[in-house]
Amino acid sequence: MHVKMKSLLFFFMPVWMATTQGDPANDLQARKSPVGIYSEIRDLVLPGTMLETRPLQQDTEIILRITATRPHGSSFRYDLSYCGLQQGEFDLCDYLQRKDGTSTDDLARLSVKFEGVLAADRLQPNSPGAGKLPRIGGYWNMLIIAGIIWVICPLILLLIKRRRKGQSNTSSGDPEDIADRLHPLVEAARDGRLGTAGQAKLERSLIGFWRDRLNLQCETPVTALAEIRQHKEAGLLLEQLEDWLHKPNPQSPVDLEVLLEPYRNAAGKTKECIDQ
Amino acid sequence: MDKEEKVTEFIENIRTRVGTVVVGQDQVVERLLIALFTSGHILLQGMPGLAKTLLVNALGKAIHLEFSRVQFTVDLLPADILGSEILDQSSATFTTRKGPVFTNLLLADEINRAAPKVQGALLEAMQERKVTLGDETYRLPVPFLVIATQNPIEQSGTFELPEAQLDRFMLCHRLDYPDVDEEEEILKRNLDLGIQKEGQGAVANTEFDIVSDEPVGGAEDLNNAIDQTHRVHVSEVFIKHVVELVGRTRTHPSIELGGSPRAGIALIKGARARAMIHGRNYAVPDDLFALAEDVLLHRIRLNYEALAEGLTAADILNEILREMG
Repeated sequence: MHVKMKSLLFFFMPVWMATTQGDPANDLQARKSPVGIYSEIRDLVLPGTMLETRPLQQDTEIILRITATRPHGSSFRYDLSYCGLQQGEFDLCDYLQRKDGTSTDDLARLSVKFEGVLAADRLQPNSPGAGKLPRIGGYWNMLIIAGIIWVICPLILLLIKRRRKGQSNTSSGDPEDIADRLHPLVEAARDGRLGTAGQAKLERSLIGFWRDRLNLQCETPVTALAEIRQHKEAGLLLEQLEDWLHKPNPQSPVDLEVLLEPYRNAAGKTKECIDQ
Repeated sequence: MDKEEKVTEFIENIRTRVGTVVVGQDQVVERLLIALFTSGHILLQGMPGLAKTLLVNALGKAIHLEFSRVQFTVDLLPADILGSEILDQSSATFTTRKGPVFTNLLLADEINRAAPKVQGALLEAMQERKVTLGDETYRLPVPFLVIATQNPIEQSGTFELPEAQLDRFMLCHRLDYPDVDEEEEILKRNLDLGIQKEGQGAVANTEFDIVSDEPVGGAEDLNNAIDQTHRVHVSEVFIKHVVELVGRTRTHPSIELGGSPRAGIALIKGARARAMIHGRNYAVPDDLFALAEDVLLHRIRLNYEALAEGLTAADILNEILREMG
């Protein structure tokens, strides 16, 4: 008897395993998913005509999608994807309907169970705490302050620029400025108190000044210097400097005021050089 | 007539004499005189047909100086310029044959066509003013002035003079084409050259045929001019200008190789001679500005960035001179 039971079990076991393994509905009974996580069922054969999902309702417990439909003899084989929005056990067939409008009562139950991760008594999310304001005074006040700065800053810059311009106009309009600044330098150059480097710099500065003033920038330096020498006003002080700085025996008695006369009402490079 | 007046007259006569055969090259005549009065050497750079050879020929004859011309070619040897020792088979002794370098005025035509060893031999003679042939060392005649020429456009088959050798030329003057009026005058003069008959034949005269062999001055006049040049006063302020200019060529961002101290010396020497030629006994910044190009341009080398931007050494030098003054 014992041997007969064993042989029967050996004979029927593969048949039972084949029948149970090929039925996914049986698998679903054990299937559990967390709320909010999608799960899939592949190659689920459901009898009858073609099925589709029912339109979603606002308070639906499950979102169910048919991702693939393939013919399977007189039935169809489906791939399903579903996601539970509430805890509990539900029948997926409740969310399916036939395309031809016939009843789905002939479908076996497709149970799925969704488990929540929150405690059972936790029904609502935590209420958010009161946040801190990003800046003192709030967003709108910040906007107003930024707007005021936006308007005032250019005005301040404009005023500074105008004031500087006014100052430079005043200084260049000063008829005695350059001549007065040159006076002690020329006097020192005459008396040999300026130093060789200072004398050389003064001479070069005057050449540069007259080249700018006579618009000789485009000329070659040789031509420009020749024209400066020939110029009635420019030549005066340069010739005298030549006498003092380069001649072996300079003759000094000259009227500095006459020499500096062309430098009155003048502005230019010399002023910058003198300032240095 | 005192010494200064004699020198002035001598210079004026040279200019007039050269002016009778060469039109519109006053500046190059001045540069030649500067080189002659300061015992420097000059490199003339210009296109063919700008009367470089005629100019030097006329200058040589005007001052009654010995004049030699060497056409530099690729197969020229140092012995062709300096001279050599020749074996006299009858007496079985070596006799010295001096080369064309033993002259007062040597025109080295197209110097960049000769091989570097020939250039080196000449430039060494220029520097040391003596030549060694065999065991003997011979001093070159006084005055000794080398006027070299080179063509700026033909570069194939030439050996460019390196900066170190260019530095030995006190001046490098770039000749320009004459202006319209001067060119018309050249053509008119050429029409009146006429012909010369010899025996039964006749040949058209060239400009060289009308250069007078009668000198306007001799060695004494030249010595006076050299002496007078050395008396020209150079102020400390002028030296400051020179140092400033040469220094700026060394620190300019576009220049790789600036002016050497020899450039500064050449500027001062040249300024002295120019001042003397212009009737002054002191140098002024005008002399410096006028000679800056001829003294400095061949001594400075631009860096790659400046060359890539299409700048020339003349542009940079003009910029420096403008910044200075």
